[in-house]
Amino acid sequence: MNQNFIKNVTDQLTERVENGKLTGWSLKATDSRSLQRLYSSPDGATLNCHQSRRVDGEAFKLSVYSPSETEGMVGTSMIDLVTYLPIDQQLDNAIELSKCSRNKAWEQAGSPSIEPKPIETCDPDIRDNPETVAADLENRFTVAFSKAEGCRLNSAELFVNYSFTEQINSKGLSYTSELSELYLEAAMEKAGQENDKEVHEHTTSVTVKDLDVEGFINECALQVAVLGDSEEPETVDGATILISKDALSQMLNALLPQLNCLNEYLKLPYLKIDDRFGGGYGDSLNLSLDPTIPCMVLSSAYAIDGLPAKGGALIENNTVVNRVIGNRFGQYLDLEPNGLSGNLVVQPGTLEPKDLQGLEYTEVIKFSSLLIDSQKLTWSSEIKLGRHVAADGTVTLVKGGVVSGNLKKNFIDCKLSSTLGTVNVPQSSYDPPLGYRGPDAMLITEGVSIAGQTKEEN
Amino acid sequence: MNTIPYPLNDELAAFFPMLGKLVQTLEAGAEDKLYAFAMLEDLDQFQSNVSQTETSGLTADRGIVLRILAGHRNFEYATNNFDETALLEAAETLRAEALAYFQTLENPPVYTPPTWSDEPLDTFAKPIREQILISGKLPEAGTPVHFGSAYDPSISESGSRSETAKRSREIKEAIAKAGGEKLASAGCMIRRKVKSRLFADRTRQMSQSLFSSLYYLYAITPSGKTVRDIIGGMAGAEAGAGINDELIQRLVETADKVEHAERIKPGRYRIISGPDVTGVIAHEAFGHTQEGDTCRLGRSCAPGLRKKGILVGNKQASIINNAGVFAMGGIPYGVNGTHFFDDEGFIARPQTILDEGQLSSPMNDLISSLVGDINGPSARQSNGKRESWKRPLMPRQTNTYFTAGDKTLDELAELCGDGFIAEHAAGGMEDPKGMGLTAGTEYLEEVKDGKRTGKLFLGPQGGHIELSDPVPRLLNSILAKSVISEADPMNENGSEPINKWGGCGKYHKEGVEAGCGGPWILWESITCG
Repeated sequence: MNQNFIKNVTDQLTERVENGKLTGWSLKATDSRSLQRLYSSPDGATLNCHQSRRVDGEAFKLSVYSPSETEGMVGTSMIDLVTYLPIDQQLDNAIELSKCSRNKAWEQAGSPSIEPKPIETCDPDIRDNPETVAADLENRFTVAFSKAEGCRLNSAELFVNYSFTEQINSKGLSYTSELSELYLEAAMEKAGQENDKEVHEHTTSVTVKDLDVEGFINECALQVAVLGDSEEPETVDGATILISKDALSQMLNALLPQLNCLNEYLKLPYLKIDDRFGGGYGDSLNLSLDPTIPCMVLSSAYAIDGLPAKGGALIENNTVVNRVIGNRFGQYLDLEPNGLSGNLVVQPGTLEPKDLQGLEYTEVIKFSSLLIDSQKLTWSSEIKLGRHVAADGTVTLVKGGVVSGNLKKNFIDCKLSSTLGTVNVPQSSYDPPLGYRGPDAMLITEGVSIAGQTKEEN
Repeated sequence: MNTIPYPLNDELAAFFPMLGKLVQTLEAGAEDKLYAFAMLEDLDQFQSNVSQTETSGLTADRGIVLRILAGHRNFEYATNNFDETALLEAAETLRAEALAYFQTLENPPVYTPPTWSDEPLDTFAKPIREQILISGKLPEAGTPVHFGSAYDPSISESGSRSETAKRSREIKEAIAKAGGEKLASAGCMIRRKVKSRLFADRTRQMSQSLFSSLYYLYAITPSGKTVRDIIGGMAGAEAGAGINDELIQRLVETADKVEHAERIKPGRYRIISGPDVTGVIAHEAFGHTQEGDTCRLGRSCAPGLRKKGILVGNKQASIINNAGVFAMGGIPYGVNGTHFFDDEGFIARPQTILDEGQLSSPMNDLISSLVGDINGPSARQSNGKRESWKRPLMPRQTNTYFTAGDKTLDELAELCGDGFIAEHAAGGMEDPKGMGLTAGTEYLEEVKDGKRTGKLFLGPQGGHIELSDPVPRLLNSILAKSVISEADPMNENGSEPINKWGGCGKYHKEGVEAGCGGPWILWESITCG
């Protein structure tokens, strides 16, 4: 970490607070390292690296707050500080820019009276020996793949990432955190034949120990084994579908803004305490946040706004029992900020494989692109790969068509699996980070339509 | 408009000598084995967002990428530490690593980069050609060449942050006022971005500065339905000149219609796609399927279809990929997928990736062009792009669009009879191996008895609508296409079809700018849900 730069910046910021040019500031400094390898597999079995990268970077994100002529208001701006331009010039720019944005004033979070306990979010091996970690994972992958019968490997990717972050502000808040991340991806298909389908999956973890390379390859190989001739699904305006933990976690993550007071302030749809969400005769939804689970991406001692992070229930038995009250918008709405943050935790339900016997449903193994509208709480996607299971147990592989749904209805009469799984979408992903621990699967019987072929076309 | 090329500032130009030194170090004594380049990326972006809160932000990001190609493997080191001694050390380490690998290869291939005189100038767009030539002559290897996108410096809003922030506020307030009780919220975001690249290898030093503006207007109804207008281009504030009361009134009326819209029944419908949705279909259809990495890694169906000579669409199914779009429709500027050269220093040129249903060779980056697919190696294209210096490079699309037809929109509606218009895109996804395609639209507008009714529809569950079909079925169902511009039906200006501001997150991983577009297209039927 470039401590000289940080000191120069904070000294100059403090001076500007003292002379009244600023009312406050906060700075997030991050050092990051990444080892990136992309592989082809000309023989369909072993890894051939065609792109090998090492990346070192540092980033400084500064927010400044400047006094306003209007009482109760504050000027705000956010800038990236860079080490190659003079600091004073950049700070003056930030102050000038803050005059372009007027907001209601709020108090930043200061240093807490009791320091929250640090949370384990870093594997020292990834931090200290990334090359060794990468080589070990390559070997494990190659050995595991050699045992995956009937599969041809097309490509793979491996990212070994580490970052160190320091967060400070003008109210005396100061803390650091470390994060390690592994990302492993593979694309494979059936060996020995021409295919029109592939299995393209990835797995992530915070530690080497948690990256189950062998289990990942096995799961991919199981998916490859079922690939074969497929049909478009049939059109049905009231379908029953089975989805996995990945889709379920994305759906619940899309619900989260409606459980945050920010939506109330922004005049967007939101759920109030005692509101019902879902219900009926199925499994109850019990949703909470937990920032303390070791080695998950949203685990942290502090919430994003600098408050000590706390866990707690948001929905109990389909009733909203609490909301996320952030520091800034809680003050705007005259609500007590509560620091609720962290990974989504959902209680298991009762669904077991035997419950699916005799039921007609479509299992969506993979959505092409699950687009969820967090305001309307609707979603829609093409089916990249699925299985239609008839009531007599006949299974047809399905592909194509469009499945759409409405979350408010989907959680009525639904069943959640009795088994639990974990989802970790790392911070370095294209999508926002997401940590989830909850049911592996969900059976949805309400609020789903499928568009595909009609019986007349058959 | 009096436009000039966006200049390269002196502070950035001062990096050229160091880049030259780094290339020399990367290749030192091994020019017959290795090929190296150094690329400096610089992002300077201002953004103002006004809704219930206001934000102003500056994004600055600069990084350097050192690249060595040894055999068919790329070795890269990337950093935003610009200390010359540290960079030269890193260059030496990378060179040693690449050489050690090279020496393990039997009969390794060696790449030789093109010189300026090797370049097919006649195939380049005019703004590229004009900026390469110095007093009508080709530049020397050590003479830096700068390419700048055109903008009108006389419009003060382009360079003024306070004026831009004021404009955001005015637009947001105008939407809120026009909407009144019909809206829960309204907002406007304006972004101005200058994205510069400095490139050096043994044959050339060149730079580009791409200046773009984006205006994002939105209206949100009480039940949370959002209607937006995304207006942008590779230009200054002139890109936002068309934002007026009429446009804002239309946005608000559309929001109100969407709030009370009926829902379609899931099924197949006759569809007319607008340039925005047409573009997403082009991008997802044989756009991703024709990317060089998916082809060479065995992850695309295209090389097999091409080898067998199978047609994948009808006579109307022609798709172009072209980074060199500097004017489109009646608009005198390009869009955000436009560049002069890609992230490996290869100059933009158009490529027909699908010609009347027939597939061409893929869109290649350097390594894909050398390795090739089951049809063998093929021409290098200007498609080597990365999200930023922090991420790997891959073959990526630039501007992808269908070629134009000969109908007006009214004529297409008449041919349509009963169906829907899909005008505003909402995402899309590719399946290069399985030839699946999905393109989203925010809502559908009804066409009845050959006329637009103005009535809007949402998806079966009240959300956006996905249009999905197997790609060959879809591309065989094109009935007719519109002209590029109804004001210039014979395209006497020689313009490209309208491309819309867009982005691409290939396989949900790497985000890059990608324009996409084309004419209005009438499709016989598409699955909608």
